[in-house]
Amino acid sequence: MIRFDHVSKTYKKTIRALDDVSVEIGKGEFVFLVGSSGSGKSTFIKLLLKDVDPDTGDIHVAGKKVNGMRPWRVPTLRRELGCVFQDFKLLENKTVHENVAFAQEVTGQSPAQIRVDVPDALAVVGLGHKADALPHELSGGEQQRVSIARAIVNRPRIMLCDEPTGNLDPETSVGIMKLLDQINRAGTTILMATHDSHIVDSMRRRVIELQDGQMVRDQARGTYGYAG
Amino acid sequence: MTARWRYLFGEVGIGLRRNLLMTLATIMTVTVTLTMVGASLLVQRQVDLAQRVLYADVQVSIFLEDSITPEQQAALENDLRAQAVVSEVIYESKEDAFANAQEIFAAEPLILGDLTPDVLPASFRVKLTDPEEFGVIASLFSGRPGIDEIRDQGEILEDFFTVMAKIREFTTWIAALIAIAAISLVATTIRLTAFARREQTAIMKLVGATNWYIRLPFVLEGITASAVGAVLALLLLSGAVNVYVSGLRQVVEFLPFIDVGDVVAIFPALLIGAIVVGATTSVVALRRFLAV
Repeated sequence: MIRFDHVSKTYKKTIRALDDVSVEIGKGEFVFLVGSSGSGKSTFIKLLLKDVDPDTGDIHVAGKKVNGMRPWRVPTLRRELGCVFQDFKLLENKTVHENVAFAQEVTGQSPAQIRVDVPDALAVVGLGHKADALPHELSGGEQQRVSIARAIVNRPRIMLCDEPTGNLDPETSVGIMKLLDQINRAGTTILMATHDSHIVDSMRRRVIELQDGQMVRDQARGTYGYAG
Repeated sequence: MTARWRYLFGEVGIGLRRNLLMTLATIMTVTVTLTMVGASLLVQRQVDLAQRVLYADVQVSIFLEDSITPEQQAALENDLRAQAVVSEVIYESKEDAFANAQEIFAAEPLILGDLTPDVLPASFRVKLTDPEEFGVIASLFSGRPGIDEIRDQGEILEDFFTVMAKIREFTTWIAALIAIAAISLVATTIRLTAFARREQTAIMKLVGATNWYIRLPFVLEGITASAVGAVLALLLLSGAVNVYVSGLRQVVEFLPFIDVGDVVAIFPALLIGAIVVGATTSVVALRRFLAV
């Protein structure tokens, strides 16, 4: 699903964000991306979205070579990727339903399709009853669920989560992780960058650790820190 | 209406409302620009119209000396008719000239009081196929015995056309200057809207909206402002033509003038020009915001 071949990325010619990273993530995997701030996690995700381009190396996502991709093909790539962020990135003036529908409207789905898909996605995240609420009327956990609904409504093959529990209390975080686990079990590949050692340790999934742009660990059923 | 179109028009309306003052300023400058451009086009139409009508009547007058012999006069007439640029030659005798003068100055008996056919010179009135060819006749025939003076009646019109050309030049320059202001304002308004909507744009990019889909509301906003400006310019120009030209028409009776029909005739060019420039400006202004 995701393959990095000797990928390096430098910002402003001096700051090394990623240094010769090679890694492969298979279909249906659930992978944690850990490391301290500035270790290259965000760059890793930006490269997948083609938000930035690597200096050297090749990146493949869902069978497509991302580096060197023509700009007009990038939207097609992004439709294969559902994204969830620490700050939710919801539109404050739109209702829950509208926020989720937005992802479909702008990619040209038919209104009939939207009428079916949006309630489905909201049901998956358990917010079917709050379709008409505005984001500020919801708790943080609920807002994150809306953003997850938006990420899955177009049925992407891969979900990228950048600190999805970063703004949430531990209890709410567990709920979000259960939801992500459920989505993963339904077949979606999930890559999640996180600082939350509790979550990583309790899930025991594959862990990739970055340090100063280098991949220092790739461990199946790993924990947040070294556990041997 | 599909969700897509509803989204689109909703966004255009929000964008225009949010920066109401900026939008007004933009529309105003677009209006002034197009009014100036339109004025320039209208002056050109006026010149063309006047030239067509006036030059149709323009003649070369060859005034004859009283001492001209009938042989000299007949030879002159033959030679004139032989010229390729000459379309018509009419002989105006002293009596004809007197009769014409009586007609022209009918209202002014003081001038006519002392006038006798004797005082007025006989002449050939020569019509040319092309009024610009006056020089050919002048150089060929001046100095011939029996000819007193060769006069180009088109000369009288030169001043008029010079003034028209100056007006046209002036409006064109003003239009060019204001066009720069208008384009900057359109670009700034679009950028402000883009800035106000940057979160939404970021999310759209994230979920895989195409660049054109993101761009379209902004471009439509630029087009709307330009089109409204064009319509306002149409109204301004029509009003100006109504007020000023009808005044001129009463003062200057011998000239045909443009009317509101001419304003309507140039409107499509103004509108299309405004829309193309508005759309292009919007796309260029957005480049920075929409880098993939």
